[in-house]
Amino acid sequence: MKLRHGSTLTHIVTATTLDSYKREHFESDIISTVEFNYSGELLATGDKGGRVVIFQHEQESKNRPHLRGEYNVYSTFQSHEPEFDYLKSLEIEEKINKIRWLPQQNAAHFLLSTNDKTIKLWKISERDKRAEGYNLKDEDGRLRDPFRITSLRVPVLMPMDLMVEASPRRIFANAHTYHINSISVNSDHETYLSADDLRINLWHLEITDRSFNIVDIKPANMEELTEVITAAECHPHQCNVFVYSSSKGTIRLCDMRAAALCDRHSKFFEEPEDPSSRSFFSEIISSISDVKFSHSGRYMMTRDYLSVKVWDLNMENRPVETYQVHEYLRSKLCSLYENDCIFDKFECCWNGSDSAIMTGSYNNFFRMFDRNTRRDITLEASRESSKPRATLKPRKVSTGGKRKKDEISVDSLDFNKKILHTAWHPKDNVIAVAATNNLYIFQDKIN
Amino acid sequence: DNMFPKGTKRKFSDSGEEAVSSGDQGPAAPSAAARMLSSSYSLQRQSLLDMSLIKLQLCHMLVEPNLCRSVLIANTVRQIQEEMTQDGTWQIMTQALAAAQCPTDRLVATEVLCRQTDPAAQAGQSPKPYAVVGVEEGYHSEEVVMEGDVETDVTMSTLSPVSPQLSSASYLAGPFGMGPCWEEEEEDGECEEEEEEEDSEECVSEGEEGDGDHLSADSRTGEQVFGTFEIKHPAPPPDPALEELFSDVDPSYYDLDTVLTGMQSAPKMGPYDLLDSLSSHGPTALSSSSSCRSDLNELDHIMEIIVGS
Repeated sequence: MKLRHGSTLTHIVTATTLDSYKREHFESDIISTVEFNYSGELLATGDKGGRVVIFQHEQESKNRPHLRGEYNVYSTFQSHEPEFDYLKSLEIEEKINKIRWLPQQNAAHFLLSTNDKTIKLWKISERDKRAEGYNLKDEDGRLRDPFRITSLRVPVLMPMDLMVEASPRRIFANAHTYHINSISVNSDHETYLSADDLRINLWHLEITDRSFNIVDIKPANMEELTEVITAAECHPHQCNVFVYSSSKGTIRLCDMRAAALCDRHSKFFEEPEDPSSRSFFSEIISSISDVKFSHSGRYMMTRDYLSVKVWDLNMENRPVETYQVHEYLRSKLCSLYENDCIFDKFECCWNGSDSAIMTGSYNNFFRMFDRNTRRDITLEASRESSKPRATLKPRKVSTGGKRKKDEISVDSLDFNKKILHTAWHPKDNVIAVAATNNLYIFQDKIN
Repeated sequence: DNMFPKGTKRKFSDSGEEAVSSGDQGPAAPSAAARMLSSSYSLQRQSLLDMSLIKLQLCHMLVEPNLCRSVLIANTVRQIQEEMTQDGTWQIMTQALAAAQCPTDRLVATEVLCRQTDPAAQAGQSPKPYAVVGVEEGYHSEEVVMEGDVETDVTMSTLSPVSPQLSSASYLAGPFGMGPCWEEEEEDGECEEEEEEEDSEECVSEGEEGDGDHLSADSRTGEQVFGTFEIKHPAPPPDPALEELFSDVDPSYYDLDTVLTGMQSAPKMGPYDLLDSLSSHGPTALSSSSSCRSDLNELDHIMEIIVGS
């Protein structure tokens, strides 16, 4: 994707269906995960209230072929409910932490959704026909009196309004003591991994009563705990390889062929710390909040608090590229520690060709970096700054004393408006950006 | 609110009197003096320590605390502690407290809270978790058969988040090294260096039973800080010393100012008082003894129900 001077992104859709119904800001509507499926036809969002909303890409309209189709609501269902753990007297949130699609194998779509403790496999299927002309029941569904039946008929399939049904097919429960932060479908399409703060389990999609523990970093004495797992992902092509990141800014690549328990890594990625910038917050800002393999499988990207780093899997001692997301926050770390913003977990994503990466920031800003040209752009996802079909204007944060026109100063940033979740269409230049409880979908303008 | 302006974070390391990364102390006296010069840095660092301790206390909410956040905050506290130990600030503080007359029961409290309560951890085992979810409504979740050990007993620690008072008291004796070493005059100041160390030596307090108890950092404290995720072996029955400890608590609340500025002239201060004063601008660290006692009784009661006695 070429990022020319000035934005090339066009705003086409401005909100989820939830936003169009409600004006108030409900906490349960906060979007907690966004994910395109393998074809990009479907876009799933999960929210804090345990709901999943799936959008579908409509076919381009013949009248206006220069515009791509829009994404409209395809299915909505309640994936997880709040639970209460009586033994520990603690609530289990229904918030959807992650959604991952399975590759499509038949007409139905499958996705995995997880909260802190339980992963569920959902089947989303369409029904656009129904049988009519039953013998034993009439059209209302009431049973007919068998003695009244004088003739038999063969039921006929008649078209009906499209109905999209979501049904839970598997429930993978009771395997995680700690909060699940990641799920990742393996390239073999048969297994997937789930990671919590201290352990990673490997599941078979068909088997729910058993999972294999492949990583366990829990110390014998919890007093000795100084590091947790923050994210994990399967390699896109090598089904025996996965990576997991830690709160100390390290990434471990593991090979499941080496041993049943992958506590010993095959590769260890860590960038040496810059001693001149060391502070009490160094460790916290080095904590990796997201790790994503490139589509090619040759690189991986990590997000820490202030930057995004691209790593070559063949080089462990430092990343090959580092992009500063919001370096102007480095002088504000104490305030951000005080208001807990320093613990925000930003995600990152690759575009389909691995030539660009995207991640979110504060004030509803999100950043995109072109790896080839090294250009970057800051855009804002908000209703005020974007109208349908309008081109997004690049934003800039002024760091020096003088604030230019249209720039925003660091102290004016709204730290409650954070973009933690973004997704990039696997093939096209279409991106989805979650801004609190609003979903924005932007696409590249075709000239 | 720019508490740590850019470029002034490590004043004394800039002066080059201490090799930061290697931990080499160099000449102790002049470097300590150099550090004392940057009082604003010390204040800021102290304030960061206070903030961190409060954040850890507030971890015990209705929902299970975020373990990653807790670990990062705990590591930050450790770092501050290490630095304060290296530049001598920590010793000054602990010596001031040791010089103050600590009532015996406070020493007992420290010892009790330091005591290893988890027999499994003492044995060096790592019990595999059996995560139990209380309720699964609306779904027909299949029965789960977990590989590995199955523990169904509950320690007091797993229930203690409901009593923040107890947890804050434990912090003092726990991994942050504030409790166990106050009664001691440490020559080498290694007491609080590492939370991971067994610190069995350092935890022996004067005037106690003098038991050779393995006074490693309280596993319950770790549990309380890092969440109550584990269902492990049951704790021993309530200790009469615990009852005694809370029967005589008389926390004197000190201003933050007093702690920061008037260390030498601090009035009588015990382990609990320091935490109170440090978090005086936050939620009360220790409530009256009666509520502590009732919380303990409540915990006993709950534990009895669950263990099925």
